[in-house]
Amino acid sequence: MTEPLIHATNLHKSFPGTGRGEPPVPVLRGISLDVRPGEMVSIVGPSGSGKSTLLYCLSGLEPYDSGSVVLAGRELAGLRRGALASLRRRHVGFVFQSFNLIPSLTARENIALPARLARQRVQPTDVDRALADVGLSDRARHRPGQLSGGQQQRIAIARVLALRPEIVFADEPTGSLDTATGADVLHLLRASAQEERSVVMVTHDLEAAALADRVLVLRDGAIHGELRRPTPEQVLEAVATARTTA
Amino acid sequence: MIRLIASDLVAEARIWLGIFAVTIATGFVGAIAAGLLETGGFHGGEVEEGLSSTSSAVILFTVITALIVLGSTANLTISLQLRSYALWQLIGVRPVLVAGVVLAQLGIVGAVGALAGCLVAIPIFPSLFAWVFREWSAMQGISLHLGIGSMLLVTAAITVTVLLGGLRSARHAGRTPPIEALRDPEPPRIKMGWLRIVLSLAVIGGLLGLALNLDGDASMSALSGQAILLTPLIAALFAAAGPLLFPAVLRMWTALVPAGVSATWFLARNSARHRLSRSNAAIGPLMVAIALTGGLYTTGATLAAAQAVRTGSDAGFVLASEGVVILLGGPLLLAGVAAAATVFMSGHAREREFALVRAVGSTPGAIVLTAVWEAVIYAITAFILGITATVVGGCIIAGVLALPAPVVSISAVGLIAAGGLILLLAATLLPTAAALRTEVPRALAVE
Repeated sequence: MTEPLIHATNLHKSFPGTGRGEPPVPVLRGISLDVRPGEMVSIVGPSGSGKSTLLYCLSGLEPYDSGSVVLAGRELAGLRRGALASLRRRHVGFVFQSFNLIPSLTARENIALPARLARQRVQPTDVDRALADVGLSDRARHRPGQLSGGQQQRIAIARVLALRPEIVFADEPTGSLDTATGADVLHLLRASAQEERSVVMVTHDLEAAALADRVLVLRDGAIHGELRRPTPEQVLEAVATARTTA
Repeated sequence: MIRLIASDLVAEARIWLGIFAVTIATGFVGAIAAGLLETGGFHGGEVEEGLSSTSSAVILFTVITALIVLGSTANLTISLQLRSYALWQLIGVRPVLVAGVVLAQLGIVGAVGALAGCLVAIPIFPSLFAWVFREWSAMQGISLHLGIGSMLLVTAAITVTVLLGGLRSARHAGRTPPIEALRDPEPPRIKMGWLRIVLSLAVIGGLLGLALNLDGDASMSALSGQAILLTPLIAALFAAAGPLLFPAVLRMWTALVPAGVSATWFLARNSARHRLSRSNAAIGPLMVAIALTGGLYTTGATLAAAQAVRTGSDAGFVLASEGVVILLGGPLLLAGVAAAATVFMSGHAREREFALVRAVGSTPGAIVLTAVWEAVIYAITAFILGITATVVGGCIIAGVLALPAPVVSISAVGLIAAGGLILLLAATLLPTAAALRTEVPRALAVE
């Protein structure tokens, strides 16, 4: 069996209490999971269940309190900020719900940015191919302000495709989009999860979640259930159960 | 509604503090100039003659700087909050009311800041006056006057300037459909509107009139009174034509350094280009400071050179430190406060941008370096524009005086540019360091 790209063990994370002397609020309580190459994993659950925090802890954007995350063969705990940045640059791509693009750069420049940061020669053909893959070849010279929300999201996916990372983290990638545009974005993400590349996606959209190979249902910072290739109805039922027992 | 205005002022305190600081500085400088005029008017005779010639130059320099600084800062204040104003519309505030409330906020902050600046000037005015005019026998022991009427006049003038500066953006805030502002919260591009075109043409007319009326055969003291105004007017022309001129100059010289030199340079260059197309506030104040200083010293040195050719002596054209302080102190203070405030105000807007760059693999060090490059780009662009105004002004004076070339005071210009760069670096690095302390997920969270 192939080595997992992400291997998390007994992950704990708390946020400080809101008031003075308030106890910390636990957000993740002992989560363990593996994500294997070529796999698409969706994380669903009620609001406040810790979905986004888990995604950010797995990707090294958020420090965790205890436990372990091994990402692309490197244990994240103890890595300095520079080393984390380097790890993200080489192995990870991100698609956020909004603000995915630098406003001062064109679509083409945004796509090529990670390569620039890694001091790699930017191959115009890679950028062109990525733009073509998301159907936005004619928007290469447009700035984010001149693109619709869906187009911005597709450019963010093009950035991921051009970078060819091993793992793509997507946080509510369709949260700001209409149904049709959201479906386009999801199919692009689904298609990008192949061969050596994995996708981990947090979503409220149950249809979107059902596109994944595995769906993890979170409740109160712990994995409440796991579904393999579920239907949207099965995801709905699992989330409803998590909500009622929360 | 009052609750909404108040809570918005608190929530966006960082932005409002910027314009507040600028209006305090303007109120302070304006009150000092008003105090000179009022004191001269009260005493009459030799005192009035001495003070009115000084205060008219101070007022002209201050007015040019204040118009540029207040206008651009007021415009930036509103542009940075378009997203908030869109949310107001979403909760049912009528577009026309949005513009009205925005102007009311601007007017309140402008008036309070200006009045505070005037009040700060009251205890400082006597000691500043005593130091500046310590060599003038007629000024010794005279009573000083800075009345409530003068202060209210200064406050009103500043408030009106701030309101005019923010008028276009306020109307834009009311007219922009909320969904558009939420989708693209970037400030709109600044354009050469009719007001700027009229202003530019008026300044060109004034400049031509002044240049053509310079009489090379007149006495040096008569000539100096007019010649000293040339460079400030050129700087005013540059500022009025800023939307065309500033981005063009920045684009031209930054193109000399290839984008591939480093990712930090690439990001800084693009960001500076992009931001300058949205607001001139990062460059305008520093450009004016450089031009005023360079113009004053270059005019003095060129006139001294002409005097030396005529009489064999350049006596009478050495700028005393107190003269420089009274002429340039106010405008430089204004320009410095505005340059720093502008960068400080925009800092929060950069937080998400920095977070995104970190998410895609940039190190914190690279982000700091990007911020440094951007400050350097602004300072060099302001230097190029300021030195151009200085040299053009100097060339006109040299031409009138039949000198082969002006005596350009590079050291004075360089000193102000270096000071401006330090100020911009400080104003850039502090918010950048603060932004780097915010966790990426928090910065990128949907508001």
